[in-house]
Order: sequence, then C-alpha cells, then structure tokens
Amino acid sequence: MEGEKAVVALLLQALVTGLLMGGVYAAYSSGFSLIFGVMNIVNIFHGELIMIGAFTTYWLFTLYHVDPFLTLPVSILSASLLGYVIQRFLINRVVEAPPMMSYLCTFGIHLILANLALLAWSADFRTVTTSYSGEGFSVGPITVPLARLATFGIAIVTTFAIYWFLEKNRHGKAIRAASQDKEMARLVGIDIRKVYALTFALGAGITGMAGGLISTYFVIYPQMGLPYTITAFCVVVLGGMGYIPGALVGGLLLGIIQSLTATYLTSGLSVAITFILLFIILILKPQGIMGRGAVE
Amino acid sequence: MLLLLFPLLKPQGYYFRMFSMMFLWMGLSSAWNITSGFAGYIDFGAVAYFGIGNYATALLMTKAGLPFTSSVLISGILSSFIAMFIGRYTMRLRGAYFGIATLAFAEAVKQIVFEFDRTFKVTLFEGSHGITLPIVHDDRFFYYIFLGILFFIVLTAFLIDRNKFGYALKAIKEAEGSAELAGVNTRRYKVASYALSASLIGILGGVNAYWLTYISPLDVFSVIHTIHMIVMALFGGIGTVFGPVLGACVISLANELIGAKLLYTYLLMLGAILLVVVLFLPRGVIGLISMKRSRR
Amino acid sequence: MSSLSVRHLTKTFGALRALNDVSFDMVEGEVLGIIGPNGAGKTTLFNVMVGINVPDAGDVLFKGKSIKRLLPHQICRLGITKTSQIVHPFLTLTVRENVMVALMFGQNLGKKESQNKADEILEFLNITDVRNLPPSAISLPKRKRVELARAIGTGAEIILMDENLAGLNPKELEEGMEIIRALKRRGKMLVVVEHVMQAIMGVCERLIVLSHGEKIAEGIPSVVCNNERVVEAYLGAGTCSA
Repeated sequence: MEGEKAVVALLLQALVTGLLMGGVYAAYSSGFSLIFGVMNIVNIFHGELIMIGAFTTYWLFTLYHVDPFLTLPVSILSASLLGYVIQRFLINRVVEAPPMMSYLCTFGIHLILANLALLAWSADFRTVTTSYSGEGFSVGPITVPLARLATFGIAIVTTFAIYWFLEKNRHGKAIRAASQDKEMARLVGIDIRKVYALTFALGAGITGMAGGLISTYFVIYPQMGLPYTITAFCVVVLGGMGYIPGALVGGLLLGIIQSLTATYLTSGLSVAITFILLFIILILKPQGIMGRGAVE
Repeated sequence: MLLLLFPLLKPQGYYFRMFSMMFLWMGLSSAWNITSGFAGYIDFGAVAYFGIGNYATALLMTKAGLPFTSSVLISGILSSFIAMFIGRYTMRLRGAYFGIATLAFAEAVKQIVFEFDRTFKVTLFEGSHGITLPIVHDDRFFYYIFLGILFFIVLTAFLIDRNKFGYALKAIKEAEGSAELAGVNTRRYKVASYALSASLIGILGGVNAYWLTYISPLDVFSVIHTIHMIVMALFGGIGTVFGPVLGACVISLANELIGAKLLYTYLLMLGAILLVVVLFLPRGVIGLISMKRSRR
Repeated sequence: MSSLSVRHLTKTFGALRALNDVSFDMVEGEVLGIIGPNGAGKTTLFNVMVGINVPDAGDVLFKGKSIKRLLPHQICRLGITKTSQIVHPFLTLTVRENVMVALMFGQNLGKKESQNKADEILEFLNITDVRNLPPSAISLPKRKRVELARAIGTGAEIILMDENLAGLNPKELEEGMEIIRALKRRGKMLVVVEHVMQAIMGVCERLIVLSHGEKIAEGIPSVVCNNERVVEAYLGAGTCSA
C-alpha cells in the first residue's frame, strides 16, 4: 500500500510541478507568438529578453534588497525598453525584407546580447534567494512551492490580460488588424510603425516579466537564453503559431511532459524531449494541437 | 596549385595545423552554403551533423575497429540518412521556423549524446568522458586530407551552381511557389540539398575526430560551430560558390588570433559582423566586389 | 468527354467560405473566361485546380483522374499550370533563365535545349529584348509576359491565367489578346480570369460568373452579360460592355 501511494504521489507531484512550469512557459511564449503573429518575425533573441528580466530582478535584489516580486514592473520595463529600442533601430529595417534577413538579424542580436552579458557579469550561475525561497505548502503528499505557485498565478493572469487586451482594447484590436491584413489596416488609418513598436514592446515586456519570475526559483546566467527560445518556439508550434490561447495549452502540455521526463528519466534530456515533441507535432499536425495556427 | 606544393617547403607543424583548420572551415561553410545559400533554407543546426560525423567515426574506429577511411565514409552516409529523415519534416516549415527547428535538433542531439549513457546505464557514447581515438602524428597527412575534401566540396558547389540542380535550388530560394508551378519537385530538391550538405559536414566531422584525437559532446556539438558556418558564409557572400571560402579564410584567421584569448569579445564581434552584413551587405564581400566591378 | 472537370468544389478558410459547390466542365480546345467581383473566389478556384490548396469537398478531374490531392509540380507535369495575379518571378535569374526553369523541370529538358526553347517562347511573346535582364529591371507588363512565358515553358496544355492582362494600355491589351488567340491556335486550352471586359469579350468563347464563392451563371458571353444575377452582382448595368 505504501509503495502504491508513493508511486501515485510521485506522479501527482510531477504533474503539479509540470503544470506550474507550464504556466510560466505560456507566459513567456505568448510574447514570442505575439511578435510572430503581427510582424512575422521569429525572435531568436527572445531568450535574452528573459535573461534581462531575470538579471534586472537579480541586481535589484542583490544590490538594494528589494523583493523580487515587487521589482517585476522594473523587469517588464527594462525588457520592454530594450525591445522597443532594438525594434525601432534594427528590426524595423528588416521587417519588410525576406524572412531570412530578419531572423539572421535577431540571431545576431542574440549573439551580441548574450556575450555582452557574459562580459559584464561573467558566466557564473546566480540565484535569487529570499527568506521564503524554499517555502511551500503541502496538499497531501504533494508539495507546492510558494514561489512557483505565485509565478504560475501571475503568469496565467498576464496571459489572459494580453488576450483580453488584443480582443477588447482599441490598441490591441489595431494590433490584431495589422497582423491579419497590413494593407487594410493602413487604409483604415492605423499607423503600422506604431503597431510594430507597441507589439514588440508588449511582447518583450511580458517576456521580461517571465524572466523576473523565473529568477525566483531557477539559477540564472548570461547564456540561459537559448534553451528558453527553443522552448518558446516549441510551445508556440504546439499551440499554433500566432494563436495566443494556443500558447497556454502548449505551455501547460510541454510543462507537464518535461516534468514527467525530469522525474522519470533525467532533467538533462529536456531539450531533447522538447525537440522530439516539436518534431511529432510537425509531422502529425503542423497547425498545432488546436488546429488554429498558421502553416506554411 | 600553390597549396599542394606548400608542404614541400617543410614548414613547422604549426602552419600545417593552421592551414588544416582553415581548410576545415572553408569546407564546412561551403557545405553549409549548399542548403542555406543556394536553396535559401538557413540551417541553424548544421553542427548536429558535424558532431554525428565526429562521433560515428570515433565509435567506429574505437569500438568496431574499422579503418579511418571506411569510418569517415560511413559517417557521411549516416549523416545523409539522418538528414533525409529530419529534413523531410522540418523543411515543411517556413524559413525562420526551419532555422529554430534545426537549432533545436542540434541541441537535442547534443543532449542525447551527453546524457545517453548515464540515463540508460550503458556504455556507448561515453557522455562527458569523451572518446579518444588512435593517435596519429602526421600533420601533413591531415593537411592534404582537408585540402582534398575542401577541393571536392567546392567543386561540387561549382557544378551544382552551373547545372539543373542549382537552378532548382535557386528557384526554390527565390519563389518556392513559382518553382512548384514551374514543375520543380521542391520537396525532393530541398531535402536532397540538405542531405548533401549534411553528408559533407559529417565527413569533415569524421576527419576532425581523428585529427583532434579526443572529442567530447559539448565541444563537437557546440552551437558555436554553426555560428561560425553562418557568419563565414554570410561575410564572404552567401549563395555564391567562393563566398564561403573567402569568408572562412578571413574569419578563421580572426579566430586564431583573437578567439582563443578573448572569447566573449570575439563572439560579440561575430554577432556584430552578422548584423552589419544583414543590414548593410546582404551579399557579403563577394557581393561588394561584384557591385564595384559592374560600376566601372 | 471533357478533359478538365471541376465538381462541387468547396473551400473554406476559417470563417470565409471561398468556394461553395462550384462545378463546370471545360470544352475541348476552348478559351473559358471566369469573371466576378473581387473576392468572388476566382483565385481560390485556380489555386485548388493547380494543387496549391486542397478542397474541403468536391474534386477536380483531369483526363478522368482526380488531381485534387496532387502537388502543384505533379499537376504541372500532367498538364495544368497557372500564372499568378501577383507575379513572383525568380529575381536573381535572367528572364531567359526564368523560362528555362519551367522547361527543365516541367518538361525535363536539358540545359542547352531549354535555352533554345526559351528563346523561342520569348520571341513568341515579343520580349526577346529583355531576355538577359533580371525581372526586377523590367516593367510590370513585361514581367507579366515573363510569367506567361514560364507557364508556356512548362509544356502544360491547360493554362489558367489569373489577371495576366490587368493594368495594360490599349496597345498592350490588344497584343495580349492576340497572344491568347495564338496560344489557342497552338492547341492550348485557357481559362482566363479578368476584370478587363474588353479582353474577356474579345477572346472568350464561354463565360462563368462567380460571386461570393458560387457559380451564378455560365454560357456564351452575350447571354451571360444580360443575366439578371450577373448584373446585380456587379452592381449595375454596363459592366459587360466592351
């Protein structure tokens, strides 16, 4: 009996952890999906935005002892600003160019940002350890770490907020209009450049926030970006490219699968699993699980 | 011609090694260029085949006792088969997504080779221990091998450029839809070029393993190698026959001079070069030269 | 028996039903015209016929066999190709090379032979003067001719022309119409989508009218143009005057 209980407990724990992780995946993948959906840009420095958000939180915590959750707005702002500046001066030049140029461009930016960070902060791993870092509460045999739960909550709320913004808000609707038909949007008087700027800033901001959240329970380091970019990509393909609610489904699904892998196999294979999943979806259902993604 | 006669001058081993390295990179970037430059499908995961080539040869020589030549050839064939499988599905993706998918593929293979033994409790890839191959103290041997393979690769690229195959790839790169309508079996040609690139990269990987004598997953599967292929080809002139060769020449020299000592700065520089080329010089140095020529 | 039949084609994109139960047969050797207001589904129809899109329902039969699931290059080899409304030539190749691609892959010719045949086609279309230029360096009307040259180069017996004659001046238009007549004499079957009524009336033997994804009329031009539904679809009389 005890053995059985332990098996079930392990499984439930893996599921819960996965679910919590998934929420965060969804949050930072929505930014990726948004930018792609509107500007047709695959942002390869996406992970660096997470890294910036994470380090912002880290430095504010380490230097000024401000609680990580309180500094989230600053993380959002820093990533957002960085995103806006890069978009205005670099991305804008390649938005109308063949796609090859735009992702080579974002790849170059990825290299520059990651290595600038390495030069500035060294490759050391860092953590944000607060007084409540290890705390959690128990539901039966399952432990729910507080930091992760809070992260999950914020992430879910933000994802829904973005979705609401795109559906109901005037500016959000402009973004959606622009993503569907640029010419039409222009004719109706929408300033495409402003839309791009807003989209990128928004996408970057939410990604930076996710970075800040991640710093509360994961180690951070300057080269952490790339695996996250790959994960975001996988989430978005799973959920359907350009389809925000799909990012939620994809995120949760990936989170759970990764958690199960980590529990039953080894956490070292996380990227491998991500890719295999990606591959399977591409073969079986390229429009994503919910069938609402763009296929080309 | 000059290069063939060079060894007769009996220079120091250092020069053999340096030229060998340059030839290796000139070959790698040329091979990469066949898919990424001619067909326009920018492969961000080429290092996967380099690593597969390294490992296949290493394992065949150490565990199966096969001679060098056979091992390398088998590595090349293995790489092409894997590429045919992976390419068949990933090439359904539009340019940028193909890029990230291949990137994910490369990272996944790296992880698998690294974690496999530990996870499944076998002794196959040797994970982080790496593999040691039989030692060969003949720098001249490798000089000629690398030179020979380079010659073969450039010849292949040259032939492709002039013939039917090249026309198909260029058509695919320019306007895949129009190519299909014109009767080009785009899938077959795309995957064929990808498999060809992969086999050539795999072969170079195999020679590399024997040359270095010791390989480990994090070295031979490092994304840095793909970055080099990308920047070298772009800098020299992506899509041309000699562009990658030129680019590799310059950048591998730069690597030799700066790379070892100031790694992060060097990487930063690569990222900057990438951006400059993408934003201002999309056709690379060769493109610049031909522009100047046509002005006269 | 008709070589090309379209049977009950339906195609939906998200919330938009682009084609709704469209059917027609082609008559041997004819030049068929398809007209209709913008958004009527004409381009979608062509895309389904050449294999760019797969229909949700219905079928396309060519010489008795279903081709709806085939890829464009396969359909091209079988004998059907199209020119696109928005032309996408191969910009880094010369005009002549653009046509050569079609000859090499649509008809499996060798490089030398393709070169010769390409020159023939370019001469037929009167654009030999630009054959060594890249498409980006020539005017739009000429680029449209290159597009047509490519279609001819594939050797396809049926060419679907999607607004290939749009935006031309009267002289170019007359030349274009003459080319269509010449193609017919060479044994090609053509389906022409145009808004330029003069062209349609001048070369088409039969017309099909699409509106909101449905076929609302079919027949010889003079009859179709007096059809009530057609007049309504175009919002007013005088649309069929040449």
